[in-house]
Amino acid sequence: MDSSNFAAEDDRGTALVEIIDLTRSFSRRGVPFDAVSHVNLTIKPGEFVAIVGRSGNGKSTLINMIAGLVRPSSGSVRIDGRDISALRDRELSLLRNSTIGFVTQSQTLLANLTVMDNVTLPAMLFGVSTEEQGRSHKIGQQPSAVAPYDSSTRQVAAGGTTASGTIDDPYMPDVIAPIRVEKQTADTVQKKQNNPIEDRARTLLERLGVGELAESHPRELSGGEMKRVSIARSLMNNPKLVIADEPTGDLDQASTDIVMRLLREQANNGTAVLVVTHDPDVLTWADKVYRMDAGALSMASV
Amino acid sequence: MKNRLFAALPNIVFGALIAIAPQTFAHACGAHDGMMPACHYSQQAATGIGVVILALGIVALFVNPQVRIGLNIAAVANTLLLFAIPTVLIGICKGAMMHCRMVMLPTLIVLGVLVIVFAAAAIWMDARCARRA
Amino acid sequence: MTDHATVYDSVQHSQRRILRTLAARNLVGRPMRTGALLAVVTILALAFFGGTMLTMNLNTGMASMERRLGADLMVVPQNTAQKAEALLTDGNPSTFYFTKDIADEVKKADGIDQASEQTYIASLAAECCAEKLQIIGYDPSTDFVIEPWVASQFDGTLEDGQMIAGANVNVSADGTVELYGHKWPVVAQLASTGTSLDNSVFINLDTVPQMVEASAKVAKRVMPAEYADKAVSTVLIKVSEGYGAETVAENIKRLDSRFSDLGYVYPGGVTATTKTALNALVAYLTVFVAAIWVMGVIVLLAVFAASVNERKREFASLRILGATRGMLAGILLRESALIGLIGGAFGVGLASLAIFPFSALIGKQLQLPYLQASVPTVLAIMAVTLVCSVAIGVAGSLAVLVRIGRPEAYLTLREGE
Repeated sequence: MDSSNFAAEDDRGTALVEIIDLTRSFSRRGVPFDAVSHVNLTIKPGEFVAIVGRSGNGKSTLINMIAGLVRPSSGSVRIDGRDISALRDRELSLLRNSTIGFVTQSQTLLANLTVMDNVTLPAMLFGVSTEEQGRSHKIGQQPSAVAPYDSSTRQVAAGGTTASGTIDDPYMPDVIAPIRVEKQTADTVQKKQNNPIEDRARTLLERLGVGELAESHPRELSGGEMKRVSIARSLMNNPKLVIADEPTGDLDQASTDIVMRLLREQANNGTAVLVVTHDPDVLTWADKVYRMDAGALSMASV
Repeated sequence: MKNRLFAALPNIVFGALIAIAPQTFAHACGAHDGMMPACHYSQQAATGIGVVILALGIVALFVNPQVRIGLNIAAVANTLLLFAIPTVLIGICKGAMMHCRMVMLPTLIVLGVLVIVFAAAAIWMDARCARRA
Repeated sequence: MTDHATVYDSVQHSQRRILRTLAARNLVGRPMRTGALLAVVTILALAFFGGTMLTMNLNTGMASMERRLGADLMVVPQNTAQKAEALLTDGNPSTFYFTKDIADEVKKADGIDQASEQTYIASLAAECCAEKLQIIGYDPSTDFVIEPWVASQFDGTLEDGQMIAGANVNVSADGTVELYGHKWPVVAQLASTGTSLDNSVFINLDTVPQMVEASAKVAKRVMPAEYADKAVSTVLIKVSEGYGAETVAENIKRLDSRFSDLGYVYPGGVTATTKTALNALVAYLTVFVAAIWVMGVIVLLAVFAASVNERKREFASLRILGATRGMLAGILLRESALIGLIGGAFGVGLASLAIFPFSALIGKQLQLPYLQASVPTVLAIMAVTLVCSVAIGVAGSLAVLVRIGRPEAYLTLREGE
């Protein structure tokens, strides 16, 4: 797997995530301790990184700092070339919205919105038109891993591929917008949709096997279904970095495979993926595995 | 079930009140010189309309949303009639301090406004639910 | 960076739409909490609007009454002082009189600047389905009480047989009032005063015998024929500079020993008594409304505070998706403002349903001058009520706002795991 790391270690220009000497201290009953202690980590586009470790060892604090949700005590996080501690709230929020897709361990779908609205929400927050233009531009160089529903879901349902490689997958990659509309009018089975955002959301949901739940509310979903919807939501804005905290926690084996294949595809298409997990199955999908122990990060063998 | 109750109960309650009030606390004025004043006939008519609205409410308990919409439209129309009777069609006593003008008319107006407000809300809810179905 | 700037610019339509619908859907999605908040705000708006309207209407009535009472002293027959006071405020029509020679004697007392006689007759119901009227005969040549405020609506002279009608008197389409089987032409109808004067008709003193005769023909004679042209119900007195109303009353009593039995009414005192009663009522109202508001604010703060924990998770979710602090505050403010606005509208609507249709009944029950404030005033009070309701809703959510404003509010999400 390491051979896929085409970039040299010192080539900082290509690094998407660059963490330098990152520390976060808390005090527990008046005794200070480092939840995250002097962590260095670099993640490049297309890299799939997994972090393992027991709970309470600082994994969540680490990824919360990467997402800019928790401020570090010292050290720095650079994402896409920008030091996030220097960003104002609005810039940081925009970065989180457009560059990072975050799958939380706990359920964070908004209870009052339908599944469809939850998934499209990230695309709505900062307006649509400009984002859309930017995205279609992006799609030109970096095709989306999300294929239209008819091909990929059937394939997944049929058992799908087993290996992490998808280069030989005949259905991948594909571009979303124009082709899809034509296909749909031909099909006429699916509901008529001409909103590109909803189209994308529906495709993501169907890809994750929860397409029929689009109009449901989160309270009607099982834990595993909610997790898959969260993953769809995190991929909505086609992020450059996907952070997933225990993405397979509530999932059975089949669903785990669906989710991990999707994440792997994201990585293969140039997205950096960072997964925090207990699940040994997940590690087989990763390029690099780190171990988090008492706040310190170390390389682990796969 | 919630919509059903919402479409029926207000009409039952307010219909009953419209029927009862003019005969009790919000009565019309007594006879003057052996002649029944206009408000007496308005009072009787209001009671009749109240009974009709009450009946519409009871029927609404047993029918589907589309029919409930119709029943509530009928309730609104009846209420407009209720407003017209003491003001235009039959009339009440002219004196500002007469009981019928001071108590009966405002009571009927308040109850009527409540019927219309609840009927409009029920129509809206039933229409939404009918569209979804 | 410029790329981002254009994105900021496009924070236009769709963002506002999603935030707005999010707020509304959060409210719809929590019917119990929304209902409780709405109920509280509705009660607050109802109390505020209702209380303010009552106070305004009482003050308007009071001001109107003060303007109508131009005399410093009223001399009335023995044992009729209370009836006369009631006439000034809000009482039933009555008939009482002494004779003109007494009135002429009274007028001779020291310290009188102006004096004018009036005669009060309580009519039977003017016609079918109307209430009794107070007929007030006054002397246009000496009058200083009625003319000044009648003048704003009628500037001619009141001829014999003519009438000026109070606001609540039914004037038929042909401009007459039928009394004792006779149609009396009405030359003017006055604006509402909120006092018993609204149920009065004004005639000049020379018309009084005509009225008495008319009453004799169709019903019980209102006073013996021999009194008809010399009956006087009251002598209204304006005292000279430097004299008090009580001093003048003493002067009158000194004129003749019989005069100490007469009734002396001090309209200024009546006004003062009424004002005291009114102020007491207004004070109760104010305390009541204030107490409701204090309790309401506590309940609102409690409900919002109780929702903080559950909402922290929701807000953390939004932050993770990239919502700015401003967006969160926007959602929250929109929610609480919506609650305030809807609750305020409910409250104003409910209070209006009670206050406006039942205005006549309220005025009668209060036994105080009660006059509906003008439409612009009512609209202004409605607007103020809505503003206060929105403000109270927003204030209630401040606790949540402050907490989501803290830099690491999202840590709670981690703690929850």
